Amino acid sequence: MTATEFTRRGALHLALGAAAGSLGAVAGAIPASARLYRRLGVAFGTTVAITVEASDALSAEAAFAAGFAEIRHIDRLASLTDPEGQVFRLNRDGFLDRPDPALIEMLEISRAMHAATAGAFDVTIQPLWLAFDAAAKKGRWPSDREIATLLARVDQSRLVVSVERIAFAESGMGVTLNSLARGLAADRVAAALRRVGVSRAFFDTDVLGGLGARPDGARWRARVRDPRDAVQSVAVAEVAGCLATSGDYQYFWTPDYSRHHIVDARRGVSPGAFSSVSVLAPSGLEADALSTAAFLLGADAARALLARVGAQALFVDKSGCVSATPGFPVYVSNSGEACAST
Amino acid sequence: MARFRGGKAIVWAFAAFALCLWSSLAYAGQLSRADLEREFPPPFILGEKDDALAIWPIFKQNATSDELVAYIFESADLAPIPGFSGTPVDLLVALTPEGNFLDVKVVSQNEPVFVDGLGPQPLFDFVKQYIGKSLKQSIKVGPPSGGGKGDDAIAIVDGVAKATASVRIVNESLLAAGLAIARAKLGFAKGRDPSRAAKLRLDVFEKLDWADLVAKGYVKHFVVSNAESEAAFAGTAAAGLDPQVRLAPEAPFIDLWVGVLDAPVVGRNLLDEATYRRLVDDLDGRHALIVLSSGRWSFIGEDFVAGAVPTRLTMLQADAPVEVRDFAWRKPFALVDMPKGDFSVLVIKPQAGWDPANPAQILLHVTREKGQILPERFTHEFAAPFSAPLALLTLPPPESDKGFRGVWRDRASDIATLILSLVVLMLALAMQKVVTASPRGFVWFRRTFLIFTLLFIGWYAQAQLSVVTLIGAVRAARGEGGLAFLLYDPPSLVLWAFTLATLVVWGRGAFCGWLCPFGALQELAGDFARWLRIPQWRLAGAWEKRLRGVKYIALASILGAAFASSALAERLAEIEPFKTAITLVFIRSLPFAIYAGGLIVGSMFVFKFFCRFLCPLGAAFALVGLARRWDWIARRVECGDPCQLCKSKCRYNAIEPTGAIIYHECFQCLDCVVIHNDSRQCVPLILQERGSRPLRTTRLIGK
Repeated sequence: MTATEFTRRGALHLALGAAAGSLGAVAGAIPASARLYRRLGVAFGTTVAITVEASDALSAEAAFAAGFAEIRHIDRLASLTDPEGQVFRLNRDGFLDRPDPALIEMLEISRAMHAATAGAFDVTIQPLWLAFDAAAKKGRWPSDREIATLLARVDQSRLVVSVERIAFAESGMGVTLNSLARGLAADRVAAALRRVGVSRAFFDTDVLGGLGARPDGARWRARVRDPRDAVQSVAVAEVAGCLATSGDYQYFWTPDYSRHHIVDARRGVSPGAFSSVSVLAPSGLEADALSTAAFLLGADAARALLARVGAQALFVDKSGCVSATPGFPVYVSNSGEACAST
Repeated sequence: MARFRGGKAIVWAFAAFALCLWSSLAYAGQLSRADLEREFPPPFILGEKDDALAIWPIFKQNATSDELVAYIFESADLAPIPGFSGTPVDLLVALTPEGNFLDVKVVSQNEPVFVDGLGPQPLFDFVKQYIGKSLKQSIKVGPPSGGGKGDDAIAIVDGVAKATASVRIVNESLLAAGLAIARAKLGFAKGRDPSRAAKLRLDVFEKLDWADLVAKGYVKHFVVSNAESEAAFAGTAAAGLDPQVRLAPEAPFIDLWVGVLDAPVVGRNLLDEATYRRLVDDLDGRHALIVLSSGRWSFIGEDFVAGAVPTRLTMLQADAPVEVRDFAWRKPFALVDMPKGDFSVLVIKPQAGWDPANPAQILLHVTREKGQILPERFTHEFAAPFSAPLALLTLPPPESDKGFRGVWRDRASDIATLILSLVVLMLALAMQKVVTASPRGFVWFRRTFLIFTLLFIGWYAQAQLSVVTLIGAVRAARGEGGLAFLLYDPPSLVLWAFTLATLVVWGRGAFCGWLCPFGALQELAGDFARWLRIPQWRLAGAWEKRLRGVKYIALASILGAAFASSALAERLAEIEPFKTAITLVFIRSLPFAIYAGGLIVGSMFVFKFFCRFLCPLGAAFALVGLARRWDWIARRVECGDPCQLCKSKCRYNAIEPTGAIIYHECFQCLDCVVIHNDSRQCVPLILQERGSRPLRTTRLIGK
């Protein structure tokens, strides 16, 4: 995977999990015939995983095949480097005929986010992103004038979307769906697993989600990592729906995390309020989109948006202090820092 | 109409053909998920197999996350390069995301030297040497027990005595398979897909001297001055060691020229015509670079070994090395204004995946030594950018057209044209009465079709069927390699299918007489000779019979050899001039060109000499044609007794004195059908029309 894809490796991790050991611990609670099977894969530039409860290895394989087929489909679709991928072709050719319905679905929610963030969230940020990445690799940073020139090509409303064709209104524009694809992949995996008859499952497409309850009857849980230390956790959350995290540590251009992959499309800068935002929402696509949107909006506006759509979130601000919306289901909190505001 | 009994035979022929194709496609790696889990036990976690390539990720738990450790694959899935046994050595390889070899194991191998001679252990030891080496290095096989020296840029693994060639093949499969993974998963070596490399255009040529070649960019020039070379060592202990820097700072230290020698505009200008042809023939599909060095520093040092991989000059494309090897080609060059200096022709194999259209770097490893005894060594790499000018290249079609489906899509119009022509031919052969109604018209129909066969089927669509495919079938039957390549050659596949089907209906004639491009070339040469009134030489009956047997001997030798060694079989298959005359349009070294040309000249005196007496493919078709269910050429009782007109008119000598058709020698030219239906030519018909002799019952077989 090349550098133009965001790397969000290890954003969150399966708390169920710290894998096989605790799976063994719960095995007594489930029927002798059924057990949990776990399969890892590589997608979206990171490790993805599907855990299913199945009666035997064969039906587990069928579930994995169905789930990974969805992951690969979305991964390829949204890839910025795979010449077979539709987003790559759209960026290369300036248009795309007969777009995949999944692409339309992502662009639709992106429009809602664009409106909800007054234009801070914009999937046509790609030209700016590429310029930042290229400059950073050479140890430079684009000047304000260069940024202003590039920002002129960033405007989601000039992306013409229909069922037959997606096209840019002018040349030099580009799209990235990296803030949406993992979420949609999670939803697709959930649907695929349900289709093949799986009733309990946990999946990590870099957005986390569960089906049913854990075999011991409890809710699936996930660890929210400390943005400054991959091994430390700030909390373990119960995953009802899907959990997505946007963080400044996932891909950054300066060692102080001030310039990173989440860029405000109005000003061409990375917002400075949070180091990570984890959003719990009914679907993966919503969780993924909202976590980026909330990151862009900053504390107050983020809370207002999340309250309006009925989603929960856990915030870690730049000073390391952790806060959450009232309904965020924290199972264990490891937070050392207390926040004055909460 | 006689009862048609060919249906079953057609079904069988197709079934056999399909089986061959299937068995060849099914050839792949051998290890199952359970096998791989045994090979990489915990703490490794085997991930989900990739859907496009036979690659599996393996992970290891690191604190709280599962980290990708490596991709594992079997080399036979990605680079099935056959060894001396005809089958590839299959290796299980683990490659880290950074491109380092984590593990290499032998899964299966049939190399004679490692089965009987030395036993397998030396091969096991050999592949272990790759562990820890990187795909980003240039990995080469050195002499046995050479100590495996090398540096960051060049890694050297020790060869195995008495098995040099086998371990080279192993090295090649490892690197080719590794590069395939690098392209697909590791983000480097992009654009290094051997199947997508740009091809050289053979039609670009103009007479140029050396200065023009350089000026037009066909030969690239790279210079490093003394001062620049000093700058590279500035700040190290090797600075200031070169006195020339002060004396002549602007004088060239490195003065290097590089060109693609197999490009006609370079090769035919630098070499004379015959030498260029020899070179292209010797290269046999590989690329060659001419590298000339006239500066103080030369890429040819005391450690340069003819025929080996040079140590002072390496090549890099998309961050991954491209193996270049000295071709030990020391023929003189013809251009007078060429600079004097060291030169070498370096050869690049297709597996190396070098794409002439994309930028590459030629790395020049310059070493300075400090001290007299046990000197300290300092090395700097100068990178000379190199790519072939786009004017010399044909670029591959867009990426989405990969695989054989893309080929079929691309050639849809060729395939349609071919199928249309086959339908026309089928109708003509099925409705002989109609098509032969006008003797003059028929002659022109046939001639037009033969010209189409030669120009379109042969030279344009390159669908000359060949006995080489039968060699492939023998190998496929033995489980080595296969016929899958036919899927990438739709016109040939369509033609094979049509030919096999027609063998049981009409015999070999439909192909040999109408669809074989070389056959058409010979027949047209024969017609031309008749027009020139060159006397045609008919062999006496006994000689004719004896000579006909030669093609069966050729076929038996080739197929027999195919069971022993495909290399030998392919050499024997050179009795076929098809590659020379049709595939390469005579652009081949002199002996081959003379042979093919000779056969065509010969056919001007003895009609279709090659087809009737020598062609092994024709022999094979004649044998399969024995399954023909239908005597479709109409005959009369008078044929042979007393009338001998058709027999004497048959240019193939395929009619017995009794009037019977010898179907396995019949090329379906329909000359005798024309006569049979022509009331001005057919003697019994003429006599009947005059009323002097009643026509006896027609002994019609077929229509």
